[in-house]
Amino acid sequence: MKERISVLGEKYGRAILRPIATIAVALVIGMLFILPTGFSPLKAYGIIFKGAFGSSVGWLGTLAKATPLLFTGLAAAFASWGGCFNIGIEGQLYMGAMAAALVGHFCGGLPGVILIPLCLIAAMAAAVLWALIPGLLNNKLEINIFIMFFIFNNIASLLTDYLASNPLRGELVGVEATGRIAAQARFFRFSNYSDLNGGLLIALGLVLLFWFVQYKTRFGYECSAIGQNATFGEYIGIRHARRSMLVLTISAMVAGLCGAEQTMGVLGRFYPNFSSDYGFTGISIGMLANDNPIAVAIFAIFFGGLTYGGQQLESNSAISSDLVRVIQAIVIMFISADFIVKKTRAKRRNKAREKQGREGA
Amino acid sequence: MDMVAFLENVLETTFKTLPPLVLAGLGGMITVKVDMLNLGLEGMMMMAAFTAAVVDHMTGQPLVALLAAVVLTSVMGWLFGLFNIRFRVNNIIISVAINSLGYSLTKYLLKAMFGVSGSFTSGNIVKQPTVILPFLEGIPLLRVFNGQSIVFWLSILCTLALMYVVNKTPAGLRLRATGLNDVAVNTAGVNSDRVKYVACTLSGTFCGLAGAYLSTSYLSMFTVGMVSGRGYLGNIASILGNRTAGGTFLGSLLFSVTTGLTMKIQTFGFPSQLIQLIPYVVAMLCLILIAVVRRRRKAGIRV
Repeated sequence: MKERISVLGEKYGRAILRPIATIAVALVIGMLFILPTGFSPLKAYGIIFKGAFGSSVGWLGTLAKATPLLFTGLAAAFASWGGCFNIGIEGQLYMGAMAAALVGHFCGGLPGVILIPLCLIAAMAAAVLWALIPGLLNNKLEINIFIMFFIFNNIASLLTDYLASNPLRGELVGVEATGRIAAQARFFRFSNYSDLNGGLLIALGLVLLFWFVQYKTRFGYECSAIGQNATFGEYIGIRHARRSMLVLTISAMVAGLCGAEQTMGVLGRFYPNFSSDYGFTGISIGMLANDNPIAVAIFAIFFGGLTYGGQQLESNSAISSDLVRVIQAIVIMFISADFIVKKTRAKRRNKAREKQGREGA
Repeated sequence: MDMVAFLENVLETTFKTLPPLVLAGLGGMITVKVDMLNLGLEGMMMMAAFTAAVVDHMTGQPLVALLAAVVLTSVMGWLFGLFNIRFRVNNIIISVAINSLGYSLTKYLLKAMFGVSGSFTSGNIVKQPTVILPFLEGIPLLRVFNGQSIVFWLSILCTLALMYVVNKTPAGLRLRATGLNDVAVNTAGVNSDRVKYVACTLSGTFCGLAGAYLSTSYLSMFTVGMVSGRGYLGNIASILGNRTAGGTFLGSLLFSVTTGLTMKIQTFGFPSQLIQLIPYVVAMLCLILIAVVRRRRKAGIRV
């Protein structure tokens, strides 16, 4: 069903064209929402793109905003590559962030060499737990996994909100957040002007790792075989249920790392509801990228730029940065633009054929 | 007497929180019936709540506002169908897009139109009319039914209508059959796609009522994120209710009773996040219970 990017040929062209066309359509629709404010849409987009990609400070901000999206994009892409659809990323990253914050705070006496891996492992474990409960319930009891993911997303956000504002509330007065994590658990920062931190290197490493796993290993091939056709997968000897749990586990680990990066690199503690839709944006990035990790990196940076540029726009005009999220939502909706093209093409062909038939008769 | 007052108080909150849950639940139920799970109820309700508040603010006519919200979300429901049926987009993807759009677009427009962020209050917003039943005033407990919003009665009416239509009419048969096997429906000479479009549009209609209720009846203001998971709860209620209108109503009632009870507990200083958590935990446990029972039953037949 799903087309994979082949190295050469028509598919490759479409895999590049489709997302570009989708983004273009979304930007045009976005203009309709800028027009009533009386601000020139082109000027608004100009501010966004110049702000995001026009200077080194812009690039720092863009990459900082792109880092969580790299993680969630990879998580979504790998799950979908293996035939699962992980819409629980949002909840998983909250659990991961909370676990990292707690370990980083309460095990503060440990040296950084031990503490950092410990935080990361805790984050991954919490996220995996949060993914496997719905996964197993779906697997064993056939409960609708999407409903379950939505329930778990909501529970995660409310539960962590409760924990951070009540029993585990830190020393900050008037701010609901957990205690600060130990200094040696923080990722290093690239500059004083931006949140960009060592988490970016982990994310980029994962991009290469996933690219290698998905396209160059037997494991990746097997996952994609299941992803494209579960029955075929079973024929070549892969147990679908077990493999999809494994795929979900790996995806959740990456989602957990997203939370850890936010806690250890940017925020330093757990703030309730800190994620601005990272999970769902990651899902749309995964789809735009057609599950290709390299393309995930490109689109994550693009969306990171939109977000950072949107903030610049907000501070330079009356237009709020929510515009960017509107555009993202339209992108998710219109990734299907491909089908519209196909439909009209098929129609044209049919019409031509009809015409030929009529002329022949 | 104190007990009666307590019960009346709980019932009051239950009935106040019930309509959006029931209506969202019916919206979810009708799409599940034709096998197109619509998880975008949440986003549609946000759009409806926003539209209703704005139109009410501008015209001062709550019913016009209700109508505007319903029209908008019905179109959104139709679009859901269009993208799913015609453009073959996965329904979960459309749902994610609608929810994300509902949140960000209302937030964006709020800032663009009124220059405020977060919430919008206006003295011009008139609440939906209420139905006065003076003869109930003297009867304990039942007097709670007096003075409910018309949307409350609409939600009950919609439940009854759907119960009848789905189970007793040819249209209902088509609806049920489309969910079971749309090819067979097509073979029987009924356009199954059209049935699906109708179901999706109706799902939007119900969300419109639900959202408009939140901003022009439950409260008379709009807050970003004021739907706060009611759309998802509607979905869950429809699954709990085994995809029937009556069951959906009971499922929604379960959630609103829990809310009514916990709101009462909240006055004793119970953290609000935990109260919001309760419906989800209840839903999860119910889903697990139903699945286990179903599995047992299946196993029983096999042995």
